[in-house]
Amino acid sequence: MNPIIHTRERILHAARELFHARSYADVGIKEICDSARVQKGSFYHFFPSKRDLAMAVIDDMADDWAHGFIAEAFDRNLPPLERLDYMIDAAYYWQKAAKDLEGRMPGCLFGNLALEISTRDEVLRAKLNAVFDKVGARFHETLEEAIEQGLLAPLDTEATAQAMLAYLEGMLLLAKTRNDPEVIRELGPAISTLRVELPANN
Amino acid sequence: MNENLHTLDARGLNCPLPILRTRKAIAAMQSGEILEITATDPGSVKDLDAFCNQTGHQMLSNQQVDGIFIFRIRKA
Repeated sequence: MNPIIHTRERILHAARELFHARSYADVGIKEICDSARVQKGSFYHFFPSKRDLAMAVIDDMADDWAHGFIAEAFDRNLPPLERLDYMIDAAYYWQKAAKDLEGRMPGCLFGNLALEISTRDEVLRAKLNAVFDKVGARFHETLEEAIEQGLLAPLDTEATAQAMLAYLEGMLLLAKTRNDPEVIRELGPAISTLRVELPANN
Repeated sequence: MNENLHTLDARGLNCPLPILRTRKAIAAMQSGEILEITATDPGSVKDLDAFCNQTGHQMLSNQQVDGIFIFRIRKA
């Protein structure tokens, strides 16, 4: 592997783990450098500031998700509403594996950062919001497809997609607060029953 | 070759991908058929045990050979 890419990847990986296990504010550049085994000068070569690092961590994680379990769950070969079950399964097994390893359920990295940063850093808030928009878009296209295939009666797909995103993030927050991934398994499947009706006069 | 034996190569995949692929593979099988999964993620041992407990599929065997985990699951 190209050593320059390798150094950047090591920093990203260390930051991602530390931000997720603890928080953005709680983890300093020195700790990230120590964990990644790189010099501070090398860090600043790749990331001019901690915010630049956070932007890259969010991109990196969003990319992993998009090509990993989001792609796997929102598989166009699956019946549309079944994709939601696969997504809940993915969240459950991922959080459960992390808890088995660390003893604590880490929750959603994006949700954690959003709660911490949204009032402090406008650029990072907007970046996180864009990630949520992308997930919302996957819910939206799933709902549109289910209606096209006659699996769902017409409803307000945009508002329902947002309700599903809110349910997912709220459920992960609750499960994290209870430190219990079983909350995801118990509440998760109901995500596919959420409906926001179209306005009556439409 | 047992014609009812299905195979899934989940080597190189990390949690939760092996579980999602397993679920998809099993969905396409008939009851009683067997799926053999090869995986490299050590977390897949606990994950697949939990998956079987929750879905009623039966874990027939689970072995480790040279860092590769090999599972056989019978569809309920």
